[in-house]
Amino acid sequence: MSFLSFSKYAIQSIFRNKRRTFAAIIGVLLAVTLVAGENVAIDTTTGSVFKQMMDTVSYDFVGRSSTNREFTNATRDLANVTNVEMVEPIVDLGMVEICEWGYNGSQNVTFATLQAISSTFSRVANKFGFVSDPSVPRGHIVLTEDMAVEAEVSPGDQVTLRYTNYMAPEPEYYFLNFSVAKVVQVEKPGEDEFPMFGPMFWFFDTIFVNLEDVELIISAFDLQDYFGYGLYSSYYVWINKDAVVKAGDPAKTNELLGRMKRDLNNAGVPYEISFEDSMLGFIVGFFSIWIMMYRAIFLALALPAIILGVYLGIIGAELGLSERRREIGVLKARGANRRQVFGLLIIEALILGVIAGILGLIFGALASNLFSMASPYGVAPSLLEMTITEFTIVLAIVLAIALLLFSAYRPAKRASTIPVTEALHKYSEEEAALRYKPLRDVIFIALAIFTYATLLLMKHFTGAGTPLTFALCLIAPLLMVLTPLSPFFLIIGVTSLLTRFSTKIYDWTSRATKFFTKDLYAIVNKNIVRNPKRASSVCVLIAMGLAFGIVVSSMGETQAAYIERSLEAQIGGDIALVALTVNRSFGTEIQDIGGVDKLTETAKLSAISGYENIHTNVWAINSSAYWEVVQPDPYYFKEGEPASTISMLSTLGNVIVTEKLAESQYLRVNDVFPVEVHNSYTDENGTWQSEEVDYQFTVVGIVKTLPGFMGPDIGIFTEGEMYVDFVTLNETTFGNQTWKFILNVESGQDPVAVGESIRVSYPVEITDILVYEEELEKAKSEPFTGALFNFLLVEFAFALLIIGVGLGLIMYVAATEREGEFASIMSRGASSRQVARLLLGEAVTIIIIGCVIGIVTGLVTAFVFNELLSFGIVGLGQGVLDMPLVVSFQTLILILLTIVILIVASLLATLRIRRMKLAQALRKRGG
Amino acid sequence: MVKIPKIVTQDLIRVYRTGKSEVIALRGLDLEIQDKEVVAIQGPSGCGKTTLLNLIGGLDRPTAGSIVVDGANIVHYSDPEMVKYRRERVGFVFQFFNLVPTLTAKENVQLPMRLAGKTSKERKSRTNELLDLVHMHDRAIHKPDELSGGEQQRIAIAVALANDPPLVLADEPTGELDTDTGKQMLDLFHSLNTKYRKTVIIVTHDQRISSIAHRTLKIEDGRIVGEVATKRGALKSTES
Repeated sequence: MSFLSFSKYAIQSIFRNKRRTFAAIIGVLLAVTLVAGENVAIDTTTGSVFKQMMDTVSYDFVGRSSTNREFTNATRDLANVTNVEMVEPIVDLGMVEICEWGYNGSQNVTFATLQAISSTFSRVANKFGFVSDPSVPRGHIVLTEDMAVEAEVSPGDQVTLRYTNYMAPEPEYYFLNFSVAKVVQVEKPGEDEFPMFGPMFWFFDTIFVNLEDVELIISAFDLQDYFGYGLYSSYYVWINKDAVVKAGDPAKTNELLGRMKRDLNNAGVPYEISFEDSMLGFIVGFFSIWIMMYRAIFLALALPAIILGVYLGIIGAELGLSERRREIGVLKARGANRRQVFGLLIIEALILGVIAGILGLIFGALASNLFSMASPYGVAPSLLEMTITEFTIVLAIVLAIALLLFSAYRPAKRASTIPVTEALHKYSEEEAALRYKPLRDVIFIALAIFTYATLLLMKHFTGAGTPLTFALCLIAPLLMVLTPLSPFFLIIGVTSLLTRFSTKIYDWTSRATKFFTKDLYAIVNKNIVRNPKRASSVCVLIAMGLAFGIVVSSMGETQAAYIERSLEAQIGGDIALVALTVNRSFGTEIQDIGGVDKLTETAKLSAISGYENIHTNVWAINSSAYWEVVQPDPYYFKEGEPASTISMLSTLGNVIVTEKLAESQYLRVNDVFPVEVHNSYTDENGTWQSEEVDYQFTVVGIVKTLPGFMGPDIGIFTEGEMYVDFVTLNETTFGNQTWKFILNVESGQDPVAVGESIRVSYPVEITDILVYEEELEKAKSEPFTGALFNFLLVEFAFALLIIGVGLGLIMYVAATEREGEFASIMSRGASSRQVARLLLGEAVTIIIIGCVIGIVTGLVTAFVFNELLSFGIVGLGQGVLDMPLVVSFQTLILILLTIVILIVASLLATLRIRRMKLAQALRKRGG
Repeated sequence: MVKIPKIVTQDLIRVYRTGKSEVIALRGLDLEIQDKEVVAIQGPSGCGKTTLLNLIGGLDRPTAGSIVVDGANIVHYSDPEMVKYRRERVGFVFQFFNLVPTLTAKENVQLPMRLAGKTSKERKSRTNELLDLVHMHDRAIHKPDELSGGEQQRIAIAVALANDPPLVLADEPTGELDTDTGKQMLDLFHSLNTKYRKTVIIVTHDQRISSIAHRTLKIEDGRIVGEVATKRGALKSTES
């Protein structure tokens, strides 16, 4: 008999036992729903953004001919090519001048390019940035707005165009009179658009004439010989993009575009028109790389949910197996061999994988609006515009099959080797406990501890050239693999070791349920240990889900806190602005703007510090005004107390230095060191001046940075800085140079509005302005980070669902499996409430163990990962600000929510006991 | 002196509905059982013996009719009252023992007492007493799957007696046991009646029951179709 001999039986088994099928696929189904849903969301939202991006492209193809003058025929033939929607020719007739004859006979000339457009050009005018219709009647010209201003002409004016033939031995002039039909405005494309594509009418001064006047102009300017020598016609082509462009499929798109290019070239042969590659292919290729990158990132982020799904899958497979021991025994007793039993279970897993994949895809697609908030491209427009690509379909089904096969492999292997007599026995309790080998879990824990310890060591004890740094470099690839896996290793290892090496933990924990299980608590423990593997798997599931939630929540909050701190360090007050070509008194002008309260001025100078000639920055501040505006938090001060240290700056020669500078110069408080301050400025006469002044400074404080002065918070880019009062820099000239002003707005005033007033008042002088509230909002709404965080929240919701369903399912199966046992207890006088409490006691014991392990490992992981982020994950070194772990109220709520969901899931499972028909349940056992 | 029966059932009907089909297990069964009587119930498979025992034991509720035990119609009991009734006034012995597999013999015996909220001291002394009664002291710390069928049934009897109920119901208690062990079980039931003054109702096919029962009721198709007075019953009648 072959491996596949039970295929039909496998299919029947799946469809006839729906509850078991549900238990087997639910974990993987939820994980696949998450992955498929996110991919559908990415496809849909990127598809919609892609369409918008396509609309910003001026044209799809352009072909050029330097000889053809049969513009109308060429346009017609090109328009007949399949999938071409529109063709518009533009003929470049070279440079001309508008001549204006002065009263004394002199000529004022304004140069412009002369372009001929067809009378149907208005239909594409907006694609080239025209705000109004540039269509030009024969015998007239149309000018761009800048051109009209420059040439000082208006609609209705008669103008003379002059063409100069510089190719002749002596310049030859040709003249032609036109009437100005209108003046049109052409806008520069936005930053998000593709200004590099299409004729730049917004940039060049242009005069438009009617295409039908081209022969007249050629004749008048004697241009016959210049086609092929500078003059040419362009044919802009717009195609049916829906038929040709496939978002996310660059290979197909390039193939279709290539075929179109060939067809257009074929049509253009009689006119010697040659077409270039379409830029659409480039955009699709570029876009596809981004989409693949997003997919990869989100798939990697989905790892926790996938692992939880697999775990639940393994539990489901084992539950199914325990239910089917007798069935397997009977099959074996009837002659089935190991291969056949294994084959039966694997075929079932394969079919279940396909079912889970299809269902996951459907559920994911239906929930794609939920996932689209976790898409970097924003929310999907509607379900009707949903895009499901082949990639997503293949991913969902392959992932589901792989996960289910993975989940089912070991249980199937074990089932196939159970001796017939044992399989026919009702159950063999403690079998799992006897078979436990702790080696795997000890290795897991050791690897996790090694990884965490190394990451922490890396932050605190590495420096250039130390042996530890060298050792870390050697194991860097290993660390990159171990770091994301370590939390899972830690949770699986610790939970399995604690719950399976000894059953004592259940004994201790079940005592905690005594308040509601009363005298039955002793039985709770005994019931759990009857299948410690199952209990252990549920503990792992709970611990993993909770730890994941804690890591996501605390890291999200830590990141948010870091953003706030970082902005405070950069801005210092409500607003910080940098102004050029102003002097120190510019501050008083700013202060006159409505809503501005206190303000302090600062100037940045460069310097050579110490005897080692290290380059550093010197911030000149007005210490008393700075204190009034900023009042830095003690957090920034490594040495010294904020108020007194800053006030000490008003004493000549005192300086506050940053940690970075102190480290590089071996400085401590009260140290005196030389500084050569370099300064450049423009003097009263507008002459650029530079000077170098030597000072002796005394360190009075050491800080991370002073608020208002921090640059990019990346270790290797951090420069050593020092802060001195203008009083100390008494020999330095402060003139018309770069100034930075830090200010607060008056109470009740909107800082964003005040910032805008300042911006509008001094558009030239102010080169940079940062409003704290505005920047905070911008940082929080940064689409990619926001999408990542939203995805993690959605994933956590899934994780909760997985662990809730997992626990509920297991309790339900436990209640079903043990119906006879509960019935016999009830026949001896237990109320259904007592039995439900017994079952709930078992659930709560497992929940307590899972939650404690989850909370501890979650917090440890969040701490280590925060340290890692604080250090700089790509080896960019320690930043100025650190990221202390934030465990807020939100995290506590999350922990409580998890516990509540788990208890509710258990309670729902116990409802079965309450509905149980006692006599029927006993009859099943033969009573 | 007029004897007040301990258990009286009148017009007892029990209909099971499974999907669209109905199975009438009891069709208006009337029965009277005196205090401290041992009654055997016999009949073919599916005649309603177990259903009757389940109804008297408070494991199930009738579709119609009444079950009066010690003057109270238990049909009208609320769920909590029924739980109390099962816990304190009835001891059930099943054909397949129905012991909790994760608990030792001693813990199984203690379970009904735990459910009844007895103190640890009370539980301990009663458990020892019962294990002595069923001669299972030396097997007290063994789990059910480490015991033979006869030993499991002895423990099941001890469990049934844990809260000292006046009524013991046994459903095919010897069905799973060999002849000798079955005989020992019947002797145990006999002593429950003679020594501990329990009312015992036994559903069984075992013909040896006539040696311990006062009478045997024959059930067929959900009704009592006959009653056979045993030698012991006749003797008791003479005594009274």
